[in-house]
Amino acid sequence: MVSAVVKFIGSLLLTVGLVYVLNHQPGSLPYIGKKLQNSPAAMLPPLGKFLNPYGGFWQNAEGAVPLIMPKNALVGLRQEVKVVYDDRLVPHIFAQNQHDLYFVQGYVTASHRLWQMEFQTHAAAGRVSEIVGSRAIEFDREQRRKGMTYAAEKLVEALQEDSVAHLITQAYADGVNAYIKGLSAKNLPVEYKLLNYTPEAWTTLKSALLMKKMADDLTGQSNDIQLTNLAAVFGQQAAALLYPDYVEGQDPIIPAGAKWNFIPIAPPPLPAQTAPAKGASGFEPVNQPYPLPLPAAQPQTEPKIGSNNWAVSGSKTASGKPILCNDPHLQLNLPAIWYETHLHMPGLNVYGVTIPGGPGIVIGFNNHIAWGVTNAGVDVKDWYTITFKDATKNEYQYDKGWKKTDKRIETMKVKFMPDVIDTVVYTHLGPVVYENYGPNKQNLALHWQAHEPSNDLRAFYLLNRAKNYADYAQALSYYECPAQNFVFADASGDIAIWQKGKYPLRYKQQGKFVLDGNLPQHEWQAYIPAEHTPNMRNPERGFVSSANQHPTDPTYPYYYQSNDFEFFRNRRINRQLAQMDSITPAQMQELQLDNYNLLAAESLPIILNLLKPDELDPTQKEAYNQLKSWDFVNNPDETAPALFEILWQKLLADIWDELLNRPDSLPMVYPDNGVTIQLMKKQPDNKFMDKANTPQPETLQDLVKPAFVAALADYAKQSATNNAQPLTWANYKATSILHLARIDAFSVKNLHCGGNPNSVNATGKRSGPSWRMVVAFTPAGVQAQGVYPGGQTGNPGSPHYTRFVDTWAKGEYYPLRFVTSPDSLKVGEFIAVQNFTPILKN
Amino acid sequence: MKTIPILAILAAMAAYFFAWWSVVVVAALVGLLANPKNAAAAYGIGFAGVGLAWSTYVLFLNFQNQGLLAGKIAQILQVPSSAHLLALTIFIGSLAGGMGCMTGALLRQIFNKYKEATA
Repeated sequence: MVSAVVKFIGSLLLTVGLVYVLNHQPGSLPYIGKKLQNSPAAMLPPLGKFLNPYGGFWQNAEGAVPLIMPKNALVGLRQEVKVVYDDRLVPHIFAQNQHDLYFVQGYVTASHRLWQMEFQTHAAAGRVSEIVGSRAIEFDREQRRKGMTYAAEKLVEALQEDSVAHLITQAYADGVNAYIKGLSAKNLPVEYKLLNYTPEAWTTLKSALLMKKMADDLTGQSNDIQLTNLAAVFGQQAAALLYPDYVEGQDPIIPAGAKWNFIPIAPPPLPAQTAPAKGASGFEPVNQPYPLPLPAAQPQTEPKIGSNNWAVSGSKTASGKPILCNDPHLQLNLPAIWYETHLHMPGLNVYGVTIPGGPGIVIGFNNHIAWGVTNAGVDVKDWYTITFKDATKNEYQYDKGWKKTDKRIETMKVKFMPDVIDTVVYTHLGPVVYENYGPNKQNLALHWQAHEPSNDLRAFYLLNRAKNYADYAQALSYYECPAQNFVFADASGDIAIWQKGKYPLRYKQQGKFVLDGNLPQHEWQAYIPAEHTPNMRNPERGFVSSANQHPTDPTYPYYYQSNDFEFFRNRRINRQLAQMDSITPAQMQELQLDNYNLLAAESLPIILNLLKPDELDPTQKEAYNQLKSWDFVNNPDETAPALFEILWQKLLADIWDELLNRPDSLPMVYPDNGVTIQLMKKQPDNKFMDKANTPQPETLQDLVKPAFVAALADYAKQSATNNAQPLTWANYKATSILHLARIDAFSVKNLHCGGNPNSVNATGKRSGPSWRMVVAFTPAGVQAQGVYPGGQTGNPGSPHYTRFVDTWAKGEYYPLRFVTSPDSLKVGEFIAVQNFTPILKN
Repeated sequence: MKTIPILAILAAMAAYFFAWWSVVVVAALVGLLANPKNAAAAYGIGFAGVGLAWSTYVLFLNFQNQGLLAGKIAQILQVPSSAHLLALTIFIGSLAGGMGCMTGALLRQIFNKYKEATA
């Protein structure tokens, strides 16, 4: 009897113990969890829950035809809505009123991309540690120090003031929540199961966070501190040489020589003290407990972002009507940044791509107009030194007096660990991101346009409905940040481009270097009037274009600057467009896929001229000849582009060795490649050509041969690890699309594709054309083609997850099914129809 | 020998509607009611019954997905292949089912012993 009871209790304890262990992540187990800390093992999913076929990850193993409920009754919907999913899973949403349209857009987008939507907003808000543990603490802290949530909260307040923006963000949020509410644990996206958490309710704050994340991606780069360091060490002259306000040979968006048909307002006066505000030794990174580590000097070889857009007028096309093209280059991630959607209701028929988490269409077309965007890249992010009165940081010096600070307590939840608390001090200029920075213990406040609310949503709302140029101009009047070049074409034959953004009215070089937060003269005094931003309609040359270059030539009456105006792609595009005629959409696709490397064309001849073929051994001679005969096209299967790229990087590292790995560890940044090439051409004996760590002085001539020899050795080494095959451009570049949570198994690596960030086909290692779109107006209506590197569903367990990747890599396009009614799609052109009906509440 | 398929069906139904560990409860109930002759037999019934419920469904899911997701998850969990992942899945279900059924049967043993003692 007693032994039976003992056996039973033993077995019961064992069973309960087993279930308990299999139901928890190792990191959350008592005792063991503490031991594991935040090792990968701690982050393993709860195995019983996760492997359970009836509710775990196996439920996300979708077939080729995803399960889409044909009928769906939803609370909150007002009338019936029909959604047709075409053969690529693009939803064509047919609603009868505005509320329902955005409600169902939210619902449908969430059904494909919920995890991504939430993860991206968690990332923006600095809440990743909640999900992945302590390894994200520094990332989260940075997001919070930058004031991302602070900015998003201000935006939410502003959205509530605007009837349209409020309606569409709220309807969208309600739709997302209707989807989340109907979601059972077994239907959660697989990432939730893997990381063992559940989705929160969607809010307008999350949509606002997403918009701020885009603003950060597109205006977040700032080199003020690095340039201040450079000016402090090498002097103002060197700063002017390396970072000129205007690089010679530019081909600006508004062609040089344009007349400005407005009366400019006067910029603020130049302050008496314009020298960089700096300590005697610049801004040296020291690892205090709180200051963020500044990135070390980086070779700026792969710009993270960029974009092309252009429109050609009917005078240059075969059809006699305009064609508009756009390919925004962003970091390549899975699930993709874009989601294709078609929105239809009485008075609206618009197709394009949207960022999951925001209502409406961001890049696209309707029956009347098409539009696209590229990043303006103009600096709207300035740094100011702040002097606190005392250690309490309650007051700071301002205009001979003291001003009070605000404090924002940031509590970061960390999975399996205690909360981390950070207090961010806010001044009237913005948050103090860096504290006790460098040997002079300086504090740096960030003043950033992205912190200000703006009604960009309304701009997109109106663009979606625009019928002509006047509507387009009206829509853009609402747009402020992140500044973009909006290209435009319409069915009546107009083409236009407008750089739209809210820019401070600066005195010359204001904000190029770190400013003094104590001096009111150093602040932004006013803004450039919105209608004075660069724009152009129906120019003589028959096309408009932009590729992140200078918007204007130096005759433009306002001062502006950028960290990296593009120098190569834009000139290639303009040269090609200028000589083209009777253009067809197919030729426009060809231009989007153009792999010509203008950087190589302008730099390699200088390099080869300095190499003496007679002094080369046979292997070197062969490589020399290979480079000499290269046509500067970065095709995937050629070896010369890989060799050139290695050589170029070695040469850059030798030329700019003064800026890298400094003994004083001051962060600095490489000049633009365009500046480097001009220096190589015009001043091959400039003092920067000298290598700092050698006793004798060097000129460019002395750098070329060793760089060439080292490049060959490196190339041979890399080829040896490449199955002993000569390294091709595609192998070298190894373009990869990584999962947002950097889960390798959910990523696609080593794609076979050409181009590089300096080509029109700006496909780099980790960034590239995130959406290629060609829209042609024809007498028969709009015909559009597009493709993006990803797939409509964000479920890694679905074959649709990477459905478009190969098509994209091959440079092929899909015809976009721009129909006018749910019945217009023929059998075979769609895979499911979903009817949404309202549940009326009493 | 009908106990195993009955357990499989009950376990499948439970797992479909409730948390994964409901299969352990179901196995325990079956162990309690079916009264297997000893702990080892009970363990075998639970192991086979829940294993059957998990294996049929998981094989179906994996088949219609052509192993796409299993391959990726195997890589994440550092399991050699999707076949190993399938085996691991079935093993975990079976293990938990066996434990549950054995516990239920051992509880029955107490009642049986009590009856014997008081008879």
